[in-house]
Amino acid sequence: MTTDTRFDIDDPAIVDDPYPTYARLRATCPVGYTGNRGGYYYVSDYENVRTVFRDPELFSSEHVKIPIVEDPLGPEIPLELGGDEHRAWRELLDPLFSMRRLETYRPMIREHVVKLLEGIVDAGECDFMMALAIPFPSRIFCVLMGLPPEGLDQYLRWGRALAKATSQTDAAASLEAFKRAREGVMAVFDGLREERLAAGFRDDVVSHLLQAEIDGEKLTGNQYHAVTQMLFVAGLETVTSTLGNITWFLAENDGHRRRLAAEPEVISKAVEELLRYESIASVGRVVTRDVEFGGCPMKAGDRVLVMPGSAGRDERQYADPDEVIFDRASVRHLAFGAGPHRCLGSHLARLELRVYLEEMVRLMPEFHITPGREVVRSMGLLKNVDVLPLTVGER
Amino acid sequence: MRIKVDSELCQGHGLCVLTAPELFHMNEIEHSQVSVDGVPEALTSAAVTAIGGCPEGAISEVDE
Repeated sequence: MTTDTRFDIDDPAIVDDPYPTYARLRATCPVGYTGNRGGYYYVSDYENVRTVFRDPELFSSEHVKIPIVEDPLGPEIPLELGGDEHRAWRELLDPLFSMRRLETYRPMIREHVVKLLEGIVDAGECDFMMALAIPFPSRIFCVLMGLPPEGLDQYLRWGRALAKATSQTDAAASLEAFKRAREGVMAVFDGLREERLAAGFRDDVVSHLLQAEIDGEKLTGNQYHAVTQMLFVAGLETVTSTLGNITWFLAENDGHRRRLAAEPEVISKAVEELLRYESIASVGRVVTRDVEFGGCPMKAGDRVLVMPGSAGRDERQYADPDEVIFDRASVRHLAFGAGPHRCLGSHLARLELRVYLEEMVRLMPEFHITPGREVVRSMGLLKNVDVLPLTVGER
Repeated sequence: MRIKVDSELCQGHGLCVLTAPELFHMNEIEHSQVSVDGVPEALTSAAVTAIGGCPEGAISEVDE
């Protein structure tokens, strides 16, 4: 019989700091069952997280949400596909998000982040989420995809609704919002398709998708919508959460922030260390056959929640895991997963985070949490910062 | 020292290319490939860091 550990990733008590709870799980029961969210096995230690990611035959990504959200578009592409089908999609998509291709966008990315940072410095204080963490990655996303930037505020509302559908609290209401958001997103991408077909292709992701072939066939309408919807959700929410979490850390740790300003060459390594420290996304998998894993008797069809955020703090993998140490010889974090489903947008996320830190230490080297104001956080499959009140200048 | 990347294991994280751009590059399928025949003496520690830093364990030293 399986014991219910009652671990609850949605527990309001762990929103501010889930890491002591994760440490307790790793120490007492690194892989365990909980009845929350319809029941799932969580996987919290580094070695098992890495094993699950790298064994898609046993731990399928056929459904990545817990509980399952049924979507008439079918599986999320490419995330919820497997085997050869998945490989064919990645061969199409990886070059669109390659280091080489993204490098050409570096000046554009820098221009956007400079503009937003200058706005913060001029104002003297801000909610960092509204001022930079939300608009920065989403503006870049619009340029990459070919979306008209005027619709940005609306896209952001839709992106939020699509992401929120994975939260179980008030499932019916969030499912309604999910449907409306999905229809909105589909209409925008329908419009963009018509425009490109009529006025000619450009060098944006949508144009490349419209010209691409999978197994010798152009994408169907459903495939086009499933892949653009996946990019939409992944592109809008994750870098925003990471920017919020790492900027919150840097606001409270003057020594770390000043070191980046004094030695900007450390930034590249610092990004990896900060991604380890705050690996913000947990993802679901489906067990494909009966197996004993991590001491748990799992059955085919059981749900598994993979927790890179806990893996990043695993004391068996990292010395002083709760300390941010930019000089670690090797970080090897799992913030972007591993195995064939490794995050498609990782090169984009890294580039955005590096350019942000380079310009942050130049334009806004001193800042702190606004006295008397509260940082508001939320937890679910993503570890979010909702409000981050910052004041520019020394404390 | 000689090193190799197992193209089946590599998933294109690109950390080795970031750590040691003199030793690795991304090939046409966006997986890492070794750019040099032998690792120059001065880059031995970069090679060791890349081996230890690969999330897939795809990089290894070739036994001579």
